[in-house]
Amino acid sequence: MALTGFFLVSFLIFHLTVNLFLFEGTGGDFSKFGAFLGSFPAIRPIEWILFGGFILHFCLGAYVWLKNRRARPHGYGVKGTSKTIKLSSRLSIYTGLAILAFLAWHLLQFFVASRFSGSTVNMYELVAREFSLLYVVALYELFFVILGFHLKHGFQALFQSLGLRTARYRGFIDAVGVVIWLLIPAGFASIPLVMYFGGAR
Amino acid sequence: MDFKLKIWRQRDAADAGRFENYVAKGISPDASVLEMLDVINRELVAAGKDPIAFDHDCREGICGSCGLVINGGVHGPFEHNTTCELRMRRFHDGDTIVLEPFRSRAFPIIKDLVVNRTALDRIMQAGGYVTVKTGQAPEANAIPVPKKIADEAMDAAQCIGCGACVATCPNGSAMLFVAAKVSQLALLPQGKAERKERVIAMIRQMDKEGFGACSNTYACEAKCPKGISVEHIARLNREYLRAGFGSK
Amino acid sequence: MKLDPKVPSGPIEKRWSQRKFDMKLVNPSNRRKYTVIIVGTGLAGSAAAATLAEQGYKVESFSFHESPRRAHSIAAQGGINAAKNYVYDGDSVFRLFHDTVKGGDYRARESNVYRLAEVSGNIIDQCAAQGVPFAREYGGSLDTRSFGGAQLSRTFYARGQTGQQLLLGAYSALSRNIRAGGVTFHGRKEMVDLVVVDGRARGIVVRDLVTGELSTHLGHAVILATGGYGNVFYLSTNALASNASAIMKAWRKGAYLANPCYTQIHPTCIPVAGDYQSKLTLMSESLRNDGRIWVPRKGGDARSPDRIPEEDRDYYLERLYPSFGNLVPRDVASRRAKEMCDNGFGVGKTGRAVYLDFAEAIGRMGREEMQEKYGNLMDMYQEITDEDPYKVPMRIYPAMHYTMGGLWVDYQLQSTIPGLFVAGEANFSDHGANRLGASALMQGLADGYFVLPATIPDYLARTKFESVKADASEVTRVAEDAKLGIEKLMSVNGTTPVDAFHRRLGHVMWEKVGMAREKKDLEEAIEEIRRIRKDLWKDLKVTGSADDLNAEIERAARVADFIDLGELLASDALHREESCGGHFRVEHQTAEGEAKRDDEAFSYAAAWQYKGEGQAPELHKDELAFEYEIPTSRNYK
Repeated sequence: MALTGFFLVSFLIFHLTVNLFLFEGTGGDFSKFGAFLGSFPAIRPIEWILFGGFILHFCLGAYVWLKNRRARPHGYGVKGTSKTIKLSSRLSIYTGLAILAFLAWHLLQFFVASRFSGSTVNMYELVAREFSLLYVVALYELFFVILGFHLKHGFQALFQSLGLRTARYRGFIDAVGVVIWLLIPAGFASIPLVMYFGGAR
Repeated sequence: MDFKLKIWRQRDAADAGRFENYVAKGISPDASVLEMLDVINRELVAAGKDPIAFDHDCREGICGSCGLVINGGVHGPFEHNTTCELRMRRFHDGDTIVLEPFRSRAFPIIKDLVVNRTALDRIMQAGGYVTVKTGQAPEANAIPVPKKIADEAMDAAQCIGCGACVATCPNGSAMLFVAAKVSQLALLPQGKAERKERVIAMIRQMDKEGFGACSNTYACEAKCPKGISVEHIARLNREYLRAGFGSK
Repeated sequence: MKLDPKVPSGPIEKRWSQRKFDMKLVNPSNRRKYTVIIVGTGLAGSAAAATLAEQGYKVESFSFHESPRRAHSIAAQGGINAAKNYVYDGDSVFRLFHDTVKGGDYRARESNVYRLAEVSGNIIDQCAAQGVPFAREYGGSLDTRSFGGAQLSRTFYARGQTGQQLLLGAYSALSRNIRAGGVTFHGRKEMVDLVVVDGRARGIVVRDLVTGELSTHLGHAVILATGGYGNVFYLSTNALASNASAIMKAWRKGAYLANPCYTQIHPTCIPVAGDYQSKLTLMSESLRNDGRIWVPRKGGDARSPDRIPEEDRDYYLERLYPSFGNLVPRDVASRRAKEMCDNGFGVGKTGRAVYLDFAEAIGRMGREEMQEKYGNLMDMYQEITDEDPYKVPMRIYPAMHYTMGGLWVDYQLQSTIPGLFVAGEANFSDHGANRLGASALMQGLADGYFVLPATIPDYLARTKFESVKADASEVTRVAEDAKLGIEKLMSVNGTTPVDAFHRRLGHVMWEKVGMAREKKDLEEAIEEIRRIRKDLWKDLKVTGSADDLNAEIERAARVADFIDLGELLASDALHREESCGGHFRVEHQTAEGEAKRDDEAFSYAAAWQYKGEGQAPELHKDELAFEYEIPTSRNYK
């Protein structure tokens, strides 16, 4: 979980960096970058690796979740044992599933549209078109909240699982964690908002 | 103080079990939860009924025998205490209190509130020791242990083996229990020779017993009567990775 | 039968090595043919089981607990003594020997005590090697502290949980040997009788506490490491299940029970608060290092302790014993506290408590260091009493804690039944009439790691064993008798739960056979105990069935044995017309209220032989010879 998680967090940072070029407006580096990536020879294997990362992360998560359900076949009469657990940790499997569902939609929306439409698509225009619809923006904002929640648990857990969250680094990791789970989703979330309210330039 | 109680009764492992209602009257606020159960049991016996079975012994929070889930909280709704240390003054007069056994696939119920925790012993047998026969020990001061290391090892070694970490973990995982021992012995120079074999053997046994896997929720740390930190789980993970990658 | 303590002769410092050399050995390849049965998994039991298994013997280990780690050794707080002289403050094996014999008020066997002091250092080595996280100095060497009854710093510790750490060390060694196959552990099995064949201990009958099933286990030697009998007083610092049944079964089978009247009352416990109370909690004696004990000068002074100025306080231990002060031995500290309360100076709601004050220590070293040293004890006190001991002095009162008496054993730790060995608190051997603080852990581990693993092989090597069949009538009869015993308890069918009888017994014991004993009281106590026995067999009510987990039936059997032990204890106290250590006879005291021994008449261990139901036990004297320590009256002034 930790290693795939680490990989996916790295991808998120990359994805966000690219997305932020959207702010340059149409014809900016965003579309150029899109075109570059589209023609980059190694992009296919990278895509597969990325897919693999997601699938593996999901499978591992599902496996652990099922195994852990088996470890307590009989629950408690009074539900309260999880009161001491942070909500983000308790819900991580559900936020994960929500992300998975969203991802399918997100890929259909952009990835499939750009890759399999046959014609060359101006990525910027595609994005601008989608984010001019209120329900799309609303769903994306909801998604980023969920993503933040997932990261809130995942990021520190990653270091815990790798055995790095020791007394010495615990404070540092948790501080970086805040940057990760708050700033990454906030960065992503700003894009649909700006594009919706600012209108496409 | 008076209380309404809902207590899990189960004749034996095969029985389905159910909650039954009891009333406790005139309980001293200084009495512990177990002392309240003593009172109820005396009344049950006087009435010719089967008393409620529960594990307990030292009644001062060190033997690790007792362990109930009280109102949905392992060892009660508060932190850093065992069931025997929980005094009734922490509740309100007239409260309804629900008592349940620890629940885990690895802890089958024996009767009422008594569960079988021998799985923890088997984990210890798998590797929770330093192999040193009686008579082989070097002079104690020959191997210095810096105070900081000794203190940290002691923090982990305080584990009383009650199983609260398992009972409270949403995954029924015994990671904190295993971590406490692995961490203690990995820190001390005496334990270094076997650190690789130890961590692998203990983790393997933990899986075999049917405990769940850690998903880093830290529920265990919050409810450990001795407040053992999940930093020891981080160390366990590191030890495990180190053992897996073969470096010494 | 004349008692033969089998004490070696020669210079005391050579005796144990000479004896070890004289002992017969068992060839390594023959060792697995011998089975040693060990009852109890505390320090002594676990240590012996692990060590004998390492030597190659087949060990069967039994506990009424589910896990070996639940044994009550786990609760010992303060520390373990060893003559390491790491502090260079004048310690030596001889000094520890001297302190222990003197602390025991010259009622212990010199050779045994010397051996104990001699192996004390090895114990620390062994435990450190197992990974016991002893307290350390900054440089990495072991830290020590001082304890009651000693003027030097020889107590090793692991915070306030030394017993826990040492037991977990022994448990880890035991676990390793269970894994390796040398030890078979039987949890939730309580010994209900001893199997004696041709005069030798050859096995035990146990009851499975979950199914109620009785089973017989045979072997070549049996070790009882079943702890003390403090719960005969109902309220004590012992764990609730701690009991005397194993030693009482052995007693009825012919093992002598020695010095039952030597009981230790611990001076620093949390006072009794009410009827509901199931046990008394001890506050480690180490607190006396930094706490000062006092009562108000004026009886019934109702001011809160912080409002009582220095001149109105009586630091009575410091006043009476200027050189030892608050660190006088346990018996002295306990008796003085009782005396203060008897004379109306007691504090708290019940007037049965004295103050243990840390204000000065906190001023001296600060709250933080206090917390570091005693944090868990302070927390425990607050949890129980709802008072903050950093702010108000603790209220403490003596409570029943440890029993020096136990089954009589010779130098080999063998009882009067050949093949039956007894270790730890269950035997009577090393503490005389009073045990010094931090010496119980030392004795338990000395017996388990170092003494029994030398003496058991000697017994096995010297004995020609007849094979014993499980279906032989002398074996099956034991199980049948045990079954009848349980049926008898179930069939009384009266109206009173066993707890009531235990309470009654405890009340008599505490009031009349407690800290100060008097002829008239003791005689009354014996009468009352007999009445309790009669009532129990007439009116006991045990509910539930004998075929499943039933705490009531376990308890009933234990209380029945406690009653017999209580009577024996009172008779022993009545016979011992002197005051020594934990046994204080009001008739025998000096003008200053100190214990007055009678070495002329009572310099012996009183070993009692069971003579049958309703018969008076017979006294055998194990005379004590003092060659190195000249008995003087203990002086802690």
